[in-house]
Amino acid sequence: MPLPEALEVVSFMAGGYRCAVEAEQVRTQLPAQDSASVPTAEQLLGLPCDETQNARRTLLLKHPAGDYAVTVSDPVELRGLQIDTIYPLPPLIAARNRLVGLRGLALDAEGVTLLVDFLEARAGAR
Amino acid sequence: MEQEQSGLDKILSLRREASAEIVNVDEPTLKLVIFELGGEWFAFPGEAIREILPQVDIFFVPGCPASLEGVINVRGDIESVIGLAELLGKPAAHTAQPSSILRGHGGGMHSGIRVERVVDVLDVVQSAIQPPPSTLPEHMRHIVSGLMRHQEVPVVILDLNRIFEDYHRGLG
Repeated sequence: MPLPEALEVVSFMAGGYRCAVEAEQVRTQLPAQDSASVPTAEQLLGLPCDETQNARRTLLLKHPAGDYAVTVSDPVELRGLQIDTIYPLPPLIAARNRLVGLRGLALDAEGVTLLVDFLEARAGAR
Repeated sequence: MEQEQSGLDKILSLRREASAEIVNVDEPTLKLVIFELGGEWFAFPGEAIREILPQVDIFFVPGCPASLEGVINVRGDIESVIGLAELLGKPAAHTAQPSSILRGHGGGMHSGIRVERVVDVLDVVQSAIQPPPSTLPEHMRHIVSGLMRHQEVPVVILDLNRIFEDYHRGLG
């Protein structure tokens, strides 16, 4: 089966960095829930706390055991990442990077986007 | 009576001697890429270096050690970039300073290596390369494969296979 030209992702900010998760992992987007029980993307991925004043939102993510919520920073957008801008992690970065759930990188005119997998991050955070 | 050499004879004789000298030094050579870091000269074997890139944009990737400076886009592919200064225990050159990136491969991996300046690329006869001295600092012993002089400056020859393998294993 030929690859699609673009990968649908939900992009967001976390720790001051642009991140994206596959759109098929996201059930919906909710207003930020002011609850300490909702983990932040920074906590799950191992990024520094977000010091920007960007608004926070909650992503509801699909999971076989039940949907779960993660808070992220604006701007949160549904977008298509061109396949030719998506790269696996170079071997030294794959070996030495400490972020949890980092699967790959997208590099385009806007710079680097961290392609993350919250399922993996959540499993790693346990 | 011995005939005096003509001008042509002298020239031909000198040329023959020069040719003979070239034959004398026709021994195995090693191509080296010599570069500068922290005021000292180092080299990688040329076979380990695919390309020398001028200053290119390095995109920071969070979560990496400070010596892993980010990624570069090389004609539609990406490669990591390591700052060699920190691995060698030298003060890290700021990424904003002019520098070059060597695209190296070793240990089954490839990566960019940021250095301050490429000094020269040349073929060196192997007899000019000395074994690493026993006085090398501990952290250098494993990664130094030889020592030579170029333009009267000592040049430390590094083993890129070992550097990449050690780095991949979490050392450095």
